[in-house]
Amino acid sequence: MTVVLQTEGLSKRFGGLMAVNNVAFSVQRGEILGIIGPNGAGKTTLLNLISNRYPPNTGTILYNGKSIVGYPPNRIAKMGLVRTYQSTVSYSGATVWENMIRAQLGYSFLGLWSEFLMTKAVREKSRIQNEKAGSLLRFFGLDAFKDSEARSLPYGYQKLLGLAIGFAGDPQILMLDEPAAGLNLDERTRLTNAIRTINGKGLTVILVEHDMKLVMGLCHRVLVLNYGQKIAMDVPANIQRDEEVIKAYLGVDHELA
Amino acid sequence: MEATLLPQAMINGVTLGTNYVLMALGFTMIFGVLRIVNFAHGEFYMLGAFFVLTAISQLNIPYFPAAILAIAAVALLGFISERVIFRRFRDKEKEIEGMIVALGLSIFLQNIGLVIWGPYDQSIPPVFTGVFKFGNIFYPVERFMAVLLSVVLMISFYLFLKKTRVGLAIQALAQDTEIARVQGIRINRLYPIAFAIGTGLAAAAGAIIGPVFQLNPWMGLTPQVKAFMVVILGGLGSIPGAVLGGFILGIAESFVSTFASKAIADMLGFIIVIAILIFRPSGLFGQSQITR
Amino acid sequence: MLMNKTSIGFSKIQTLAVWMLVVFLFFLPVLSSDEFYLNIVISIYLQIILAVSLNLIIKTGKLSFAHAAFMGIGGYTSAMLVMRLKLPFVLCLPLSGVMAAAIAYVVGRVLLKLEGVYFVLVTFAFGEVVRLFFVNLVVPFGGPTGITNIPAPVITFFPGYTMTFLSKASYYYLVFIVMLMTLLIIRRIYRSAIGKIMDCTRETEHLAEFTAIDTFQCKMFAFVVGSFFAGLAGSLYAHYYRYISPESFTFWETVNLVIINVVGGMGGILGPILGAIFLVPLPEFLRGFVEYQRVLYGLVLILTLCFMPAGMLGPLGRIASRLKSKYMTKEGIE
Repeated sequence: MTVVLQTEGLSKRFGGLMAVNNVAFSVQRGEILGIIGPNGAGKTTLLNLISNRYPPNTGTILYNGKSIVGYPPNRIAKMGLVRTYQSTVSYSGATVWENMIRAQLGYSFLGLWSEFLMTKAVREKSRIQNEKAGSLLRFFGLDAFKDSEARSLPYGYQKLLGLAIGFAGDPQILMLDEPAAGLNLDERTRLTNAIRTINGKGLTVILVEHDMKLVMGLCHRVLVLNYGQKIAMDVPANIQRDEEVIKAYLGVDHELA
Repeated sequence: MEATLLPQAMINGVTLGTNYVLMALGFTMIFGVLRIVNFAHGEFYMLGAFFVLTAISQLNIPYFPAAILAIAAVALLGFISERVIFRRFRDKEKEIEGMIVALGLSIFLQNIGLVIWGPYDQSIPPVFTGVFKFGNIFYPVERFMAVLLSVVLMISFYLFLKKTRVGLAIQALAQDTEIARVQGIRINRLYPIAFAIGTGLAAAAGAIIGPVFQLNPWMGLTPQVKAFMVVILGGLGSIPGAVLGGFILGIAESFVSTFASKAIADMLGFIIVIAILIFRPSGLFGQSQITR
Repeated sequence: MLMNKTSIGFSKIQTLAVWMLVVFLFFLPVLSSDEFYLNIVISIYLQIILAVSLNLIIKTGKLSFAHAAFMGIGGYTSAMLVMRLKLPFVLCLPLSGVMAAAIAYVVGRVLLKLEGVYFVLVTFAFGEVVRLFFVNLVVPFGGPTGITNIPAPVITFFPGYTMTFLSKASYYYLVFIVMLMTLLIIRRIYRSAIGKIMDCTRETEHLAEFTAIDTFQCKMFAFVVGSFFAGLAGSLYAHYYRYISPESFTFWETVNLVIINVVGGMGGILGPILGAIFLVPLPEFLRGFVEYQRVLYGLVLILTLCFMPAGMLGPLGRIASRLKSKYMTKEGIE
């Protein structure tokens, strides 16, 4: 059981608001970790901190034991820590096939000179990229949409494409920001199956989600945030029984009652 | 001799400042509300001045009514421009296209002006004559009147924004389009109105300054650049920024011109613009880039 | 931004046609020694170099209004190197490009951090600073009057054979060769992974970053290389007109280049080429109607952006795709 990602005392303040407050947790290799919490709990902020969208005010983030605070997003992605976005999941104007090629570009770039001269190594790499694009599309069931513009896909498939793009770089950890938002039941099932399959291949997954059922059914462990603070972290069964968690989600209603 | 340089530079600076502020106000409002960098702003200024000239010399209309007519005519032109041309470029993604279209409009108007009025300098007959004299300081009356009229306009504009329904609606639109829409504000009506007011202000600047300087089709270029500088300094989209920035730039330029040279003043202006864009892109008061 | 997917892929037949055109153009001065036409074609070639190199920068989503300034930097550098340091032209030409690229490198580090219209405005300001710099420095740059009597290029091909590029025909070849090189290089960049990465950077920058693409390096690369070619063009310009002044590279020169790109279409290198061919000769043939011609420029720019966002490539691209799907299979392309 190796710890692949770990945070200590992570905090982020926006103006007067402590969006993330002293959060510490660790992620095991190969697990699916869900991050849940009421609206405004700081889930997305936490994800943004880990993927270095902006720097934390305090705290450390260790990836495979190494601190990654301050590293630019493209460098972290190259190191194997990839995240997807809720809003811009793909290159909407490009075809699905183009998207799969583009998703690999950054990882396999062989340097300005080689790429410009189109050396043998570059041509070989290109061939491999093409093959991989094909197999990824088949794997995620997107093959039929190969030549369609990404934005013309049904919403559920667009999200799958986003997942595929994140996966294309052979990451060690894939971080998903509300991947199921806006999906119907069928699409959710397709998504969970896809996540389970890629997790089966050894990929660690962290996902921020609102859909309780999905999270409890899919994740090995669940981290619960409220008002930027970690209030629980355990297996789904225990989380569902946890008093603090229930209070956090129902607390507002109680007040009103 | 030395003792008068300072106050003279100051007076010139303030005069210059009101000039710049009027231009900057329209420019920054158009950016704040429509998110268009109006490269044609200087041309509306030019049209304002030329319309006054035409009204006076061809239609024998006295200065003040001529000025009002000119401003109205240019505002109408601005209204039409927004409805016909700029409305396609209202999204954030189309910001740059909108700017280039404004550039196209600028080229178009400049050269229409050239075709209609010719390349040679022309002048509007002076409206006010005489010179104020304080000791060794000279201050032509017409410049003083220009400043006075400009200030009157600035105050009117301020009152319009704060006290009238249209003005408040425009402010709301500048803050947040979605919320404004939800509140029932008719965006499609407001955008052209806002653009018309912005260009009207530019025309007013042209009508006011027209009699003081020479007119030619390219007279809008320098005020355009100054407006752009002021607005960067004060913050794109900020009204108080435009006012403060206008005076700061006017006075600073005046001093550098007086004690160093105009060429250096020009260059310094651009260097400051670059510095602000790099270190504090929101200027003195403007919206921060990131919060967009 | 404005970039449209309509790029015309080249199949084998089209490549052959292009090379035939190149050969024809190579012999153009032999076919027609009319100085008037040669002058126009040379102007077109120079604008092509400038427009295509600007296209390179635009392809990363950055519209640089300082492009003409880098051309000016190249021109002045070349003039200085030839006249003061007596360096041979074959050295001065690339060095002009290097100088422009070097300044672009230093300046780009800072400027490229700005987004959208802010980048446009700051490059505009930078362009003005460069222009005013040359205006203010009478020594050694000649101030507002610039540098005159710039010598025509002298190239020693091999010991004993020295050629002075004084005639329009000879200069034609010089510019033609440099233009071809520019086009080949930039086309190669576009077709490689670098070009694809540029598309990613332009279209959805943060997605690119989160898939391990260093978008900043990408933008720097385009900016520096684009400015390099602008510098080259500047050198060719200076030694052709034998004169350079701050008026040669104002903001309006850049605007012309932007118009060429917009009207021609920015999808690949074909767009700016078409735009230059269409727009550069116009002033020459509308000599009697200079003002109307500029009116037309403005109008064309507005109309193109409103109705033909892909520029000339839009309708041409549609014709080409229809031909493509009629005559070619999937494999033949790319």
